[in-house]
Amino acid sequence: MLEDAIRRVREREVPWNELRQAGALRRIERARAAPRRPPRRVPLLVMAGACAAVACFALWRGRVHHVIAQGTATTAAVAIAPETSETILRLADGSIARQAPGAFVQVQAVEEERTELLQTLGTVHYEIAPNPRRRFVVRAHDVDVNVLGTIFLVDVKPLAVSVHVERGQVEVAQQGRRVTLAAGEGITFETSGAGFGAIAPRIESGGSGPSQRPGAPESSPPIRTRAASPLPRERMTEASSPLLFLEQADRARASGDLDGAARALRELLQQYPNDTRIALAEFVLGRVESARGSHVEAVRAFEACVARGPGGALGEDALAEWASARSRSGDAAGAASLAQRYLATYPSGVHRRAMQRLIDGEH
Amino acid sequence: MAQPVPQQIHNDSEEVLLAQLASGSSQAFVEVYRRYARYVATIGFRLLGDDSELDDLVQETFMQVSAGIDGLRDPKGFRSWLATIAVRCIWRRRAQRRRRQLLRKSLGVLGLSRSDPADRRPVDDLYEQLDRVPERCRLPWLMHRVMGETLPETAAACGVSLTTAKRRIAEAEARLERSRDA
Repeated sequence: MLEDAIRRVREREVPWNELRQAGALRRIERARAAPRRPPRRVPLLVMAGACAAVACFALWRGRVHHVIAQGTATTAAVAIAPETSETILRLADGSIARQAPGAFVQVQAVEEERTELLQTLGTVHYEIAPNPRRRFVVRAHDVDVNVLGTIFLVDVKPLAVSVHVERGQVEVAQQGRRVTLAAGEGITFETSGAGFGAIAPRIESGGSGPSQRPGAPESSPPIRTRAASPLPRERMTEASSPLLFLEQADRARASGDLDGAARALRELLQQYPNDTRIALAEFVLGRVESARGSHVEAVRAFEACVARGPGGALGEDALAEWASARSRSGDAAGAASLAQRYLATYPSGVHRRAMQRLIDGEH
Repeated sequence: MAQPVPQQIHNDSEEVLLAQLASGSSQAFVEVYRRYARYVATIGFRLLGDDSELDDLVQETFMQVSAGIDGLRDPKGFRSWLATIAVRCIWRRRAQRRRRQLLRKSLGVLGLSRSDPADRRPVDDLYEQLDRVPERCRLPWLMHRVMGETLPETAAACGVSLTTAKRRIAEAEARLERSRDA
C-alpha cells in the first residue's frame, strides 16, 4: 500500500514548465538588481530584548529631559510630509526643521537653556521659535549657526556649509570667527583645509574668480559671502525681487559680464533703497567696479556700504576694501587714514597686515 | 521566455560555470538556473505535496544561491548544496503553513485544500498522513523515499548526520505504516 502510494507520487508530473521557469527567473533578476536588505535572521528573543532595551532607554531619556526642562516636553517628533518628501523634525519648543530628501539632522540636546542639532548632510530649512533664554545652535562640520529666533536654511555639502537667512538674524561661527547674517543674506564656508580663524576670507570677485585679499596666506580656503539664493519655497516670494537682482549680478559676474553685474546691482540699489541687502549689494558693486578698474566708483560703493553700518565680517571687509580701493585710486593719504581706522576697529582683524602696508606706504 | 545564454557558457563544465557564478557573472547565473530550476521545483513539489508555492520556492532558493555562492568550497557539491538550501526553504514554508492552518482552525475556517479525484486519492492520503509525521522526519523520508536521493545526499540536504537521517527516515516509515494499519 505504502509502496504504491510512493510510486504514484513519483509518477506525478512536476507542474514546472518553461513559462514558470522564465517567470521565476525574471523575478529573481529583478530582486538581484534591487539593493540588498540586511538578512532578517535576528532571533525573536534578541529582537524582543532589543525592543525592551530601546523602550527602557526612551523612557529614561524622557524622564531625564523632563527633569532638565522642568516640566516642559522636550522630545522631538519626526514626520514625513508626503507632498514634498520632506522629513519634518518638530522640537518641543515649537521649532521646526524641514529636511529635504537626503538631509540628516540629529538632535544633540534639547534643554531649557540650550538646544543643539547636528546637521551632517543635505539641505534643512529651520524655523526656530523665539526664546531669548535658550541658546539654539546648529552644528555643521566645523561651522556653528547660533540662533535667537529666525527662519534660515543650512545646506551641508561634503566640503562646504551654506547658510541663508530668510527672517531674523543668525550668527555663524567657524573656529573663532563670527559672522552675523541678516534676513536675505547668505554665506558659504568651505570646510576643508585650514581653520577659519587663521585665514583671511576671500570674497568672490567678478569674472576672474576669487581673488586673494592682501595679507592672506596663500593656502587659505576661501569663504564666499553672497546674497541668499532664491529658495524653492513660496514664502520667499516676498523677497524675491532684490534676490533676483543679486542672482542676476552673480550670474553675470560668473560669466565675466561685469557691466551686466554692475547694471543689476545699481537697479537693485535704485529700486530697493531700504532693503536689508543693500549693504551687501553696495559691497558686491564695489568689488565689481574694482574688477572693472573703476576705482573711484569702487571707492564710492565701499563707502556707501560702510555708511550703512553692516555688522560682522561684511563691515570689516568693506572697510578694508574701501581703504584698498582708495589706494588704487591714487589717494594714498585717504587709504592710510582708512587703514588706521580699520586697525583701531579691528586690531586683530584678518586684513591687519594689508592695512599696515597701506599705512607704511606700500602698495 | 528564458534569456538566451551564449554558447560558450552553455558548454562550460559545472566547475567553470560555478567559478564564473562566484565571480558575479549574470550569464553564469542564468545558465545555472537553467540547469537546476527544475530540480529545485521537483524537490519542492514532492516535499510540499502541491505546486502552490513552487515559483516562490524556486525564486527564494536561487536568491540564496546568488547570495551565498562565495561560501561554496567544493563545486562538485553544488547539487547537494542546492538541495540543502531548497530543503531549508521548504522547512520554513511548511512551518508557515502549519501556523496558517492553526489559525484557520482557531478561527473555525476550514475549507477544502485540494481536489479529490479518484486517481489522486492515494497521493492525497499519503500527504495527509505525512502531515501528521513530525517535520524533522517527514522531510528526510520524502527526500529519500520519494525523491530517490541517497542516504548521504538526504542527510546533507536535511543538514543532519547520516545516522540521524536513517533514524528519522525509519521513524517516519514506522509512523506511516501505523497510520495505514489504523
